[in-house]
Amino acid sequence: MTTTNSESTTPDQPPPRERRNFLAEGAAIVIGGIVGLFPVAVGLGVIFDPLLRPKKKGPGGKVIGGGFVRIASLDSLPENGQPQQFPVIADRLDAWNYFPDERIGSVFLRRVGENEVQAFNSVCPHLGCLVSYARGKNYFHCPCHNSAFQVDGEKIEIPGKINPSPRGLDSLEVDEKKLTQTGEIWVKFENFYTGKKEKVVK
Amino acid sequence: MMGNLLKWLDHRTGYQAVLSDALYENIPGGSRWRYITGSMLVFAFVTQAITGLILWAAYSASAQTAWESVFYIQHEMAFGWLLRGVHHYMAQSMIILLALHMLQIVVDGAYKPPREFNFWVGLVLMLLILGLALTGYLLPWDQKGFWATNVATNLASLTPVVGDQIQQVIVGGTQYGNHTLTRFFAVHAGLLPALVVGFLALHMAFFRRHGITAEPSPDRSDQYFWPQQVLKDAVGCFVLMIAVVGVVVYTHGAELTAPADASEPYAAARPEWYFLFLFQMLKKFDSEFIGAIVVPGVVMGFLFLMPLTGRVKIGHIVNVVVLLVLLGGAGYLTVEAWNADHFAERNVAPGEKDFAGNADAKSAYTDKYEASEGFLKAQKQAHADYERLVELIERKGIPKEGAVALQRNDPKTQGPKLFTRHCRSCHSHDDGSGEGIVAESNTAPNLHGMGSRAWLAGLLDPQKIKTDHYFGGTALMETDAGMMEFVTGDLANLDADGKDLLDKIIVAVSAEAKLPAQAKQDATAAADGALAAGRAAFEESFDSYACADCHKLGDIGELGDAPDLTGWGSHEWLRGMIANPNHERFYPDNNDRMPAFANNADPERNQLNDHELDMLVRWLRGED
Ligand code: FES
Repeated sequence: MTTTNSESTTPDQPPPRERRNFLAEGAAIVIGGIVGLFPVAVGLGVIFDPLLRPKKKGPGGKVIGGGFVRIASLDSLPENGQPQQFPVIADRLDAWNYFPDERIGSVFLRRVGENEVQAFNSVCPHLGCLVSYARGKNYFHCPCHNSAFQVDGEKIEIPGKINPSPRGLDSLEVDEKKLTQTGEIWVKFENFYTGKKEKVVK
Repeated sequence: MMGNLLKWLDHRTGYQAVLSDALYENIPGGSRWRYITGSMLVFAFVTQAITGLILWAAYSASAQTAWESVFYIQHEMAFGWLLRGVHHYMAQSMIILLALHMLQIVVDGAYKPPREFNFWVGLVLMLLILGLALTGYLLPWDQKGFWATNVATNLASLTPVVGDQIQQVIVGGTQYGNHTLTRFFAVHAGLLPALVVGFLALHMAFFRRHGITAEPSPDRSDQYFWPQQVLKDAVGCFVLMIAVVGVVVYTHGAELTAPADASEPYAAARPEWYFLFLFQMLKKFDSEFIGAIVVPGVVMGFLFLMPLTGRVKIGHIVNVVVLLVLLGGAGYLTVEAWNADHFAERNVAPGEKDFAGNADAKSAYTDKYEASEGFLKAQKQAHADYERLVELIERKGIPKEGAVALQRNDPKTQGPKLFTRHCRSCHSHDDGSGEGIVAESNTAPNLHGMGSRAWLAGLLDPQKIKTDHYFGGTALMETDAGMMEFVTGDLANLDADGKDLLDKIIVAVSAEAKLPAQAKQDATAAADGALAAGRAAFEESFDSYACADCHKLGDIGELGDAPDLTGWGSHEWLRGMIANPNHERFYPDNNDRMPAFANNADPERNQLNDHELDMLVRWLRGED
């Protein structure tokens, strides 16, 4: 350790390069690469967890989401076919939290016949805002980018007017058997990817 | 002594060379104000990093705590509003500075060779800063940030092939929740700042390598960076600081709206102003792919190519012109978006405008007006909801389920929604101010103020009972016997004694409701004997009938032809009435259309559950 006391100001001249040693170079690159990637690699599982574990289970292995949910009884729908909005109450799983009977979304229901009900998810198929029903004018309107839908959920297309939604409102399956037997409206509540021509379940 | 010390320090560290390198950089043509934007951006970024770190020390990223911790910073912590406000508005100033910085670089030709790389690094930095702005908007987990960011992440699924997967990885699942927050927070506070620091170091290294771009002009001599340019930079940063603090104090900090609720629509969802032009562009195309991917992609591509096309003179001119057009276009779209939302504020209602018979113009105008009206109303509602929540929190504190629970269990917030959903098809709840809820078809009484003396006096007014406000649309109207006959017969043309009798009855019956708003008057009436007098009057005949002939009131009269007025309008009475109007206490025979909302043995099947019924009734009665 004699250099510590030296007052020389410049570091020593670098030693001349060694002869190339491909084995050492290759090994250095590979091993260095591995340890370099290691920190990210161990985290990949967590980063991609939403894709690796898409169906998450609730307490007791209960499947959450996708099933039929009771929304309302048929009596609560007006006979004139005007849509009514209802909250959807079901179990919800949010990462580490489990919420039994929470509001997980909302649907529009409308009576279209004696024992027939149409159900739509309130989420706008354009980019996911919630549509509302303009009563006086009898159509659905989205406050975000002005998508508009007829009372039956079809996309309104008026030449010269822009309607950015790629498809009509997302209809939801209604359990017809339960409806005729009990007068209760059960709806298969699903969310769909927005911005696509086709309905793709989330 | 000092000199020796510094010499020693320099020998060990080499600081003097670094310092003189930094301070004695030559600026051809001397210092200029237009060069200050770069330093200001660094100042702004450092401010963001430090204020952000301190905010972090008070922030908690989860769906039950994010909004709550931000609320706490904003309203409780010492100068928390200042800290949060500075972080919020400094971020906005960075966007403006970015635009100015880029403009200066391009106009001065500082992007041309050999500085291509520095320009590209600058563009990357710009995208990183925009990313910080986007991710930061969600972190307070309020309605505004929630819905605006929701639109942004939904755009991710437009990416071809793996769009859905990308969206899921960003959102941390298919639905917004805890993991959306934790992910956004990690990106906002960790990943992006680290990348900014790295690219900023590169940016400055490249800048030092090639120096300032300036045309040396004969009438301006060169200067070193120190002290003239440093002074100008410092003044720029100082002005920025004052401006940001001024805005924060003026606005009392950044806005916070009600806590995020995925089941609660928020019609005023808009991105922050600097993204409004992108938002507006989405309204312009039938396919969001064009507005959100193609146009921004082409613009970014153009920007990245500028250093290459700028080599030739004409290319440079084109670059400058296009950049100005782009900035102007963004500005135009921003103003357009703002105008569209505020249209109704500055234009007359469609009904008051003359379209000279042009139906198309009228319908276009109406659409525009109504969309804007909806936005403004939602914005106003959002403010009111927030104010209400602040009040609730002051009174009750935030429960561990989060502030959303307070809102969902608040009669004042939920009452109007429940009324709209279940009652509005027939009933209004309208005080005539234009703010109330108006029935779709007025076939039942207006319930605003139901139970109060004024309401009851109106019902017993021969002129009013027949109007839509009371029994005008009901089956009770059609019966020429009963209440209608009594009010329009007995109560018409009352003499002074009769009026007195009626007033007494009104006081006594209305006191049954025990309305909080009337508590004082009721207490006085009880004390001075007016209640007792009213009860006695209940049994006294007018021309042909006494009230007690048909109605029961406590132990006076018998249950029979007409609703029991015992506890009329009280919590219990209203609950019972809504649950089952056909009950013998109410209208067993002449209820024409009101459904029983909670009369099922299986509570699951009721249209209103217990909790909802309770909130609705409390709201109707003005209980808190
Ligand atoms: S989200 Fe509904 S129109 Fe864009």
